[in-house]
Amino acid sequence: MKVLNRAMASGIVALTAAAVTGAAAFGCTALATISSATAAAPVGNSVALTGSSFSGAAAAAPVIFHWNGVNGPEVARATPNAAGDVSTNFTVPKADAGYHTIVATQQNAKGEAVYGTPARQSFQVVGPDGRAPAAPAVAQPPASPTTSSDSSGVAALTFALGAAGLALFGAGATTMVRQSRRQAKPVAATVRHD
Amino acid sequence: MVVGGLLLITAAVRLPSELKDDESAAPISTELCVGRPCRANDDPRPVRGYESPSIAVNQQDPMHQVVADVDLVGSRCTWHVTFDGGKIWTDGELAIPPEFERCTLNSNGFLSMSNVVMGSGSNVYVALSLARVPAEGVDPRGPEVLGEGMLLAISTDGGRTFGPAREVIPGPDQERALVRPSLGAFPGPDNKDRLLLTMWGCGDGRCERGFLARSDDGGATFGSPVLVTPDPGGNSPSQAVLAADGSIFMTYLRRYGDERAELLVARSGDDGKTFSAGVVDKQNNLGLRYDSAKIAVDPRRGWLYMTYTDTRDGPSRVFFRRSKNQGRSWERVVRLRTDGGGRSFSPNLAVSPDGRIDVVFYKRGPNDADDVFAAVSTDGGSTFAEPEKINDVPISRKIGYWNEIGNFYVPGVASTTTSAVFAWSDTRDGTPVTNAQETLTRRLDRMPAPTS
Repeated sequence: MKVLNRAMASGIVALTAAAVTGAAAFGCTALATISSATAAAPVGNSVALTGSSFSGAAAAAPVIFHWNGVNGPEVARATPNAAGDVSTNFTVPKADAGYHTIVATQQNAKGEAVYGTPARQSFQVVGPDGRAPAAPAVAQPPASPTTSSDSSGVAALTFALGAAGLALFGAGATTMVRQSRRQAKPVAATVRHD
Repeated sequence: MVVGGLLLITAAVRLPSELKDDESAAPISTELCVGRPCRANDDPRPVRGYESPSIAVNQQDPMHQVVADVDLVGSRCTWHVTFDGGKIWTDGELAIPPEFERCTLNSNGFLSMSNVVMGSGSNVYVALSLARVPAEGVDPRGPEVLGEGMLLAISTDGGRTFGPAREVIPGPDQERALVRPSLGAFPGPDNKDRLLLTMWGCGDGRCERGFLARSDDGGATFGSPVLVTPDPGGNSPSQAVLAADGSIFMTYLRRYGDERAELLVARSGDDGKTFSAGVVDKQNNLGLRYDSAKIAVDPRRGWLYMTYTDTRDGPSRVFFRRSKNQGRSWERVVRLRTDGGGRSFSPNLAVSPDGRIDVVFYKRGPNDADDVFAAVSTDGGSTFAEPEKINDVPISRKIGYWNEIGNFYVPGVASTTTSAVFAWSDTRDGTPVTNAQETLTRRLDRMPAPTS
């Protein structure tokens, strides 16, 4: 394909003499992941937790499972095996029914977060009867200002105006009728004297 | 009474209009997935992490879309299908044979999934790059362990379901791996789809090769991968495209370690058995670190189009080029401009059946957040309308997974005669606790291209 001019051609000769560098790999390992044996449980239940792709290096700190944030209260901890896998149990803490977040952190010997951490997992706290709150609709991005709730509010106001109008009209009509009835009473005839 | 009467009349006039259907009364700009982006999943959990988005659209029914992405939280390769333009999504997880690794970062640090493509009929395809799990007791770094090979998952019902992923190209050996697949589907012989699968070849932590493998039977079998990047090598092979005369085109890059890079366009005139390539551009930071230059064929005009990033102007910018003569020469670059400074990157493009060009890219603004821009040309790339921002909330990358996995996954785009659909990774629903990131989509309605 004729795609080069002379200047480019000479440049290419020089470039090809240099080493083409391969795209070096980016990530070092897989991202850490965690999962719970059940996705939902009531407060006080013991639930098994597992995780993988943490650091299995001897100098790495244990994996700490937090409730609702990297600095949230600790609910469990476990030391990874050489393959970076962990398993433990946690007791569902006292919390409102609904979705919460389990966050698993791990630090290396320097106190830095191990690559690929923290790992996160949603966990649903259910009521004592085991029922979850009604699942929220998937939260699509909010609409612009003109929404169905705005429209229904204006409709209600319009109804109110109509009702007020009807009331005022009725009151006015009633007053007119009463006035006209008073005017209809017979007036005493003037006596004519011849 | 007079006042009451006026109020009554006012209410009588206004009330019927307030009782109209809300959707028809609302401005079109609020329509879900059209005037505003929508989530491309039905996942109710607050912790979500989806990346590497791609989107395919049914040319006969633009409401029918399939999105593919990787679930980083659960290490799954997932797909999401809608038949109503995104109001309702059905999610699915690709079934991976147990002898293969999970869907997560591979041995070279890249995500496993290709783009999703629609073929003939109701066929939908997606490729995966996965390695076999070493047998118990086998040293994972031993010679018996193979690097990543290629698997293919097929749906025959428009993406409602997918069959289990099946290995189609074994991993070469422990020192080498095939990663970052890109897939194209085209009409093939005997009413079967022709699939063109490109992939990077990596070894020793370096990726210096690009390969293409072809299937003429809808993915049932593939030929052996053909090396597209002879010495001195190259990387970032693009998705391959099929021209009207049967030529196969794809791009790749040569990076020289000091920001210099070359862009090459490779062509095969023998169904992908052999390739020849030539340099079409030399710029600093072409494709930035890992991105390929995207190439597409105009079905109406037969022209070739490319889009890519480089830093010839300083900050990274997105450029477009076209060839009107089957790649024998390429016209000068056109820069797709946006206002407000920042840097643009990760472009992708698609061409509608009537020749409209849709380009999508990310832009990092001065506020250090990302926006998504779409640019359109209806005259074969002679001119582009000013790029339009299609996300509605700046995307904070302090939330999400880009710090861990990089910003190396382009937004998706697919074009029909009457619309363009886009998919990108977004963190609008994320918090420091949930770190949520997911695929959002949006459809822009388009007018059919002029016939001139």
